[in-house]
Amino acid sequence: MHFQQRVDDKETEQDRLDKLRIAGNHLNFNESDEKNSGFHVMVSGHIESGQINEYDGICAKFDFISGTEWSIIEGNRTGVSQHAYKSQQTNRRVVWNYPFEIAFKSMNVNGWPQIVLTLTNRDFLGRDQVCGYGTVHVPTQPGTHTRYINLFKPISSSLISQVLGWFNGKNAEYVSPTELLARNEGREITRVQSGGVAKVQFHVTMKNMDQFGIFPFKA
Amino acid sequence: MSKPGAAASSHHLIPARKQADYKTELFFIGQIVGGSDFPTDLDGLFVEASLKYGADNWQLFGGKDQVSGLQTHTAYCDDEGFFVWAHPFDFHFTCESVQGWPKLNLKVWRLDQYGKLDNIAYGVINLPNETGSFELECPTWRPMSGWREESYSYYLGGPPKLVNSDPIVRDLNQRRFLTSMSSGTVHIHCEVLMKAFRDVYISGDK
Repeated sequence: MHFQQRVDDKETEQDRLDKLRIAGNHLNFNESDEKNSGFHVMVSGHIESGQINEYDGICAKFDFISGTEWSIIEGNRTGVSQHAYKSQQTNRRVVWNYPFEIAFKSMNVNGWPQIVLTLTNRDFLGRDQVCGYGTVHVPTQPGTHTRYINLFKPISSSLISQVLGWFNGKNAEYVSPTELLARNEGREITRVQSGGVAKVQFHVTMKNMDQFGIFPFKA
Repeated sequence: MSKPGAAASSHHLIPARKQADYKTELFFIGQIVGGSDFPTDLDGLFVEASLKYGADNWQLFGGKDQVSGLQTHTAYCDDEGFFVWAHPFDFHFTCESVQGWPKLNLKVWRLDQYGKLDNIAYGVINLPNETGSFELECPTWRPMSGWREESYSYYLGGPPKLVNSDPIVRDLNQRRFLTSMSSGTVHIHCEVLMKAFRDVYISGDK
């Protein structure tokens, strides 16, 4: 009995070391401390540029939204960029080059973070109005990814509100875009006009997902 | 994520995960991005999508949005004929068998300028079965009938529709009696994460 136990002990020790070995290094970290604390997703990147034909002088605001089990360890959940105009050259794109960096911690994959973009510009009287929304999930695979977000703009529910909006300098906009796009609740009765594309680049790193049994494929 | 096998004393080394502790779980995280090439210019389109999966071996967690089916907002196309829906989804499945892998049933509806709603196309697409990030394109179609129904639908709207949605995926034998007219494409971006698939030696988790 005792001999058998010793042989089993050696196997499990080797298994444990095999599991922890990363590219030839023998890292003996104490995994029982980190076992129950969740996995980490670190996202950095920038909102690169946009291709929007009808508007100019656009400011991009981003928000990260995530499920209830996700918490932000570090970084800013929202940010507002500069107002950018298109160049006089041939590529008629709006460049923001606005970096973001955020780190999440969670115990559950549900509620994977998304980034919501709200684009605004100023009309001729200097009033801010919304000219587009877009949303995309943070990529689930580690590595570098480029995402092209298709943008859309809500349409007023009646002609009267559209005309009044033109006078007041307020196009149809969502009261709480992050909630609407996170929960998708009540979204089916809205109407939108499609237009524009925004380009966002993500760099994603993950930690401890292996211990949850999830192995994201490295891009 | 409790691990009942963990030992109290640290020198008795027991593997951290046992095979029975984990159920295989699948996460589909993505978005119904938009649609292109639909035969309408001025009308708004929206998609109603429902998940179809093996009922006995698969279990879907989630709010009412995911269980009853999702519906996007109504979008009007841009200059290039692309309709943006941007409807995110986050499906969480537990599965005990690979059979009955989830599919998304799509129905494209049209809202015309007079406020009429009509179902103009059907589509079904399998969700991907390996870890990674995928751009799926689901081509759609609608049933076709004789010249009378086709001219009715050309002038007045109201194309022929399926009486029940069985021929789409549930009872494929009925498709041999159908004639269909092709319609646009629905673009879906889907990322897949698998949990504990490696422990049960099913392919797909790289």
